[in-house]
Parts: sequence; C-alpha cells; structure tokens
Amino acid sequence: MADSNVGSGAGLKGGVTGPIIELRGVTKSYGAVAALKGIDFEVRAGEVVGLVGDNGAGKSTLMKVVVGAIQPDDGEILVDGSHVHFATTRDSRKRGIEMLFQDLALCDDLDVAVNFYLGRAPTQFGLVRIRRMHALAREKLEELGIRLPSTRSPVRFLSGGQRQSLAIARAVSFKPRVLILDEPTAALGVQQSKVVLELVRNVRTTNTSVVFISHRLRDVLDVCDRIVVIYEGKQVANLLSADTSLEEVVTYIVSDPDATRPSARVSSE
Amino acid sequence: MSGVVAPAPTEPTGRSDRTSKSISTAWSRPGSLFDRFYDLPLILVFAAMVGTVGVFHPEFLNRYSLTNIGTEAAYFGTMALGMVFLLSMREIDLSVGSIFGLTIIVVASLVERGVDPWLAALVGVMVGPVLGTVNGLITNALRIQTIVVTLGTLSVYRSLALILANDRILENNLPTQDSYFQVLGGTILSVPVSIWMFLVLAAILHVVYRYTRFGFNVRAIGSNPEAARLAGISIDGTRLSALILQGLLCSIVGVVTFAYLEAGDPITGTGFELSVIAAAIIGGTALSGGQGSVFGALIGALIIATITTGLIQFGVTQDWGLFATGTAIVAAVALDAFLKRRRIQAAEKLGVTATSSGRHYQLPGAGAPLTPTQEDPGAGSRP
Repeated sequence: MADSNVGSGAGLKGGVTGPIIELRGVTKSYGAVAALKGIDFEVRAGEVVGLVGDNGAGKSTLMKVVVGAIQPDDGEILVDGSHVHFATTRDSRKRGIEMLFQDLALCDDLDVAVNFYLGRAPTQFGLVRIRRMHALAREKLEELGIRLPSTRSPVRFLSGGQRQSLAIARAVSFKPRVLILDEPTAALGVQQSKVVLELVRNVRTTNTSVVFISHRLRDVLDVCDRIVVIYEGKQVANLLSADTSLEEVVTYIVSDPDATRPSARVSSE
Repeated sequence: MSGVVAPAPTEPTGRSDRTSKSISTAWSRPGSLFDRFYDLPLILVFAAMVGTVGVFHPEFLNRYSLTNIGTEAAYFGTMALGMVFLLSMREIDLSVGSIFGLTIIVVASLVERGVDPWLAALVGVMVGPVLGTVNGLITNALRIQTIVVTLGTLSVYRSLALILANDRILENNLPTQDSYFQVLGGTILSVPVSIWMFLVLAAILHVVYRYTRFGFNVRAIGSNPEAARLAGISIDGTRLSALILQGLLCSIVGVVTFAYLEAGDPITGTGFELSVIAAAIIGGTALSGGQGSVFGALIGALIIATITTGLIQFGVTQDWGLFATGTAIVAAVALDAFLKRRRIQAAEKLGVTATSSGRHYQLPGAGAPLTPTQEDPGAGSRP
C-alpha cells in the first residue's frame, strides 16, 4: 500500500519547477478540537489534485487556510518558494489563488453573461457594451467547452451542472494559477457531474492547477492526477491516480494512524 | 355546426391546445418578446385602462384631462424612478415625501427672504442628495436596514420642514413673475414642465438602470448580496449612491413643484412614499430585489394617476379612489407573479430545470402596514 505513496516533491510529469503552493506543518485548533494537526500539502503547476477525507477530516479547513479565509495557528505557507501570510481571501487572490465555495456565487435574476462579468462588465463612455459582453462571454464559455442555450438566459433557468460550470468558468476567467473547487459535484446527478468533470479537465489545459475537494471518489479518481488523503487533520496518503485504486483510497480514508491502539480512541470518546 | 366532418372537432381542439402551449412558451422563453419587452403586459394593462375609460367617457381622452394625469403622475412617478434602484437592491426609502417637502420649504423660505429664485432652486436641488447621504451613512454605519433608518428620517425631515416654515404656508413676497416660476411652473410646447421632467428623467434613468455598471450592480446585490460582494461590488457604496440618487430626484420634483404651486406648504408630500413605492411595484420591480424596470415605474405612476383621475370622471369619490389604487397594486403584483410562474413552468417544459432561487431574505417589516391605508405594498404580495 505504502509503496504507491508519492514522496513530497517526487517527479510528476512536468514537475521540474517547484510547487506553486506549499504548506508545511500547518495546525489549526478550535478550542480543544484540533482540526489540522501539522499538515503538509502542495500544489504544482498544471496538475489536478484531489483532496479527500471523511467528514470533518479538515479538507475545507485546510483550503480556507490556503486562501486566507482562516488563519492557521502554526506552520508555514509558501507560494513560489517564499513565505506568505494571507490575511484575507483578497490577498490570496492577488497571488492567483481562487476558491469556489460550495454555495454558488451566482445571481439568479441576472443572465449568464452578466453573471460571468459580475461587477466588471465591459463599458464604453460609462455604458455597458451589452452585445460585446454577450459575445465575449459566449466565446470564453466555448473555449472551456461549456455549451449553454443562451447567454441571455437568466441563471435561474440553468440546471445545476450548468450553474456550476458557469461559476467555474467565471473563476477561471480571472486566470488564477490555482483554482480550489469545494465539492463541485456534490449536488449534481451523474450526467451533470460528467459535464463538470469534463470542465475541470479543460481548466487544466489553461495552465490553471486545480484542487478538487470531493466525497465522490470515482469523480476524484476520474479527474485528478494526484490524490491527497487526510485523516483527522493529518495527511495520510499522497497517491498518483494512475497507480492507485478506489479500494486503496478508501482504506486510507478510514485508516487510523493510531490503529495499533484503537481502545485509546474509543475510551476518549 | 353539426354538419362538419367527423375528425374536425378533435383537430381544432388539438391544434388550439398546441397553439396555446406554444404561445405560452413563446413569450415565456428567455430572449422572447415578453422577455425583451419586460414591460409589455403592463403597457397592455395601461392601454386597456385608458381605452375602457375612454369608451365610456370620451371626454376623458381630451388634452386637459390627459395633461392632468401626466402632471399628477409626474410628481410621485419621478420619485418612483429612484425607488426602482432601491427596491432592486432590497432597500426602501420611506423618507421621499419628507425630502420632497423639506426641499420646497428650503426653496420657499430662501425666496421669501429675497434670495434669487434660481439660486434658491440650486440650493434646493442639493437638499435631497445631502439628506440621501445622511440616510446612507446612518444605514452603513449602524448596519441596520434602510427601511428602519428612513422610517426615522421620514419624521425628522418633516419636522425640519415644519420648524423651518414656522408651521405656516410660505407664500409671502414671492416674485412669481420671476423666470423661475414662469419657466419651471409653465409649459414647453404646451406640455407642463413637470411632465417633461418626468419623461426626460425616466429616459435617462432607464439607460442608467439597464446599461451601466451601477444598474447591473444594484440588481446583482438584490439578487444575491453575497455573490455581489464576492465579485468585488461595494454594497455600502452602491446603497449610498442609490439613496443619493433618490434624494436628488425628490429635490428636483420639489423645486419644480414649488415653481408650479407658488407656495410652500410644509406638509406637502405627506404620505407620498406609499404612492412612490406603489408605482415602482406596479411597474414590475420586485420587493425581493434583483429585477425591476424604470420604464415600468413610469407606466405604474400613470396607472395610479389614471385610476385616481379616471374614477373622478366616473363620479367616484376620493375614498373609493384609494380603494381602487390598493386593488390595482395587488392585481398588478398577482399578474406579475402569475406570468413569472408561467415562465418557470415553460422553462421546465423546454427541458431546463429551474433551480430554487435560494433566497432567504425577507424584507424587514414589509408586511406591517406603515400607515392605515390600503396602499400597503408589502403584505405578502410577492411569491
């Protein structure tokens, strides 16, 4: 099992350069509860990293630390090899790290193009160039292989998959270096998930690395180059998708690093 | 009738069924005629109303009474243009009538003291933006709803008008021959200046609402404040701008009204807020935010004015006029809600799943009647 683990910084395809994001020994506690117990994590250029683990394992907490939505208690965060401190998500966005949260950031009443260009519509003499905005939005969506009936359709009328695709396309349009997707397929049916997974693959071709947080292990195996499993705030596995299996990932997810003394955990509960 | 060939009865039924369905989808589909001409049903309602009154009372359609309707609509309708922006971002300004009244008193007292009327008018036009700024800064600083803040400033501004006027009507020593009174209180091409003001401002603000970032931002905030914030739109800044705009409109109306009335009564505009909000809502602006129409507010104001003046033509008294206005609000909103449900159903038929809007926001206090009239715009009228 352990032999499929990838050592930190081990050669991935094109992995000559250092990681974009590197976390070392990050800890975060909420009162007596330790959410992150000295975790290591890295994202390299052009890869899709799956981040999996049981509920409460610390996946979302870890990513919120990465984007500066919450502050770690200890540990180092490096971007391009130098130390950073992100006080807010705005700071991380400046360094090209974008996170798409579970609750989608779309305005139902407004149409596809307006949502795509929310707050930054192309203007001329103070007036929004509506036609141009629609043409540009259509172009950008098609570049990512997203097909929508009309860019003039209010987002209310889109399916879950279409909404998710639009939200991702919007995030990608900021040309982030790393895009973090928190459960992008959680609320979607099989067919719609496929659309989103296809989109994630397309995103990778735009030189954006993706961190894919999901409970759906098949989706993760399907779309990710590398899978990081965390368990109770610690990284327990770092696997290449090509060399692993669903069963192996599951084993790590339910694994207990302290398995040798299970009674200790039971009694502490 | 019975002589027709056998399949005939079934075929027309089948066809009409299909036709009605395709019609309903045709104007319900995004990008369709109905979608592009958001205000179309409203225009039809207005046309039907004018037509009905005209059939029974052809004299209603003469120049005099149409001018009457226009003038009446212009006063609260112009303020309703600004309310469209506020309602679209889930805000309400209740102090509009008081800002309007205070502007009149400021201008009147300056003119009474011998200040040049045009200079006084210029000062008057600044009153609204200042008061709007006060509304906005209080709202942003205290983090409470605009409706609550302006419920307070409604009384405060009115009180200032009464204090400034010393509780009397300001009409002494007014140089009514001055060009200010003659021009702004007069007509251009035999149409009152107030109507021109209404039309020109409606045209400008329609463009602002539909074609500027400010207009889009207002709707984005009303639709999903969190999404707007994440997109970098300043909610506080947009709110402040909308309140300043609302104040400016109230003061413009005040300056023009004073020129027309040639007297400054400190209670002018009391209760205007309800007509203003009603015009915007009849015009298709959602209390729940996210969408609205400046042009619709113009029609909405005309509808209210037609009801009130039209009913007088029918010999109906003022008390029943209020009844009719109230009924019209509920009817307009019900029709709007019905059409929107049809659109969502049509979209579902087209194979697109309409997802729930995920709206958690309830307008604070909207259900509570503000004053005992039947014009309460809130009362659960939105789906």
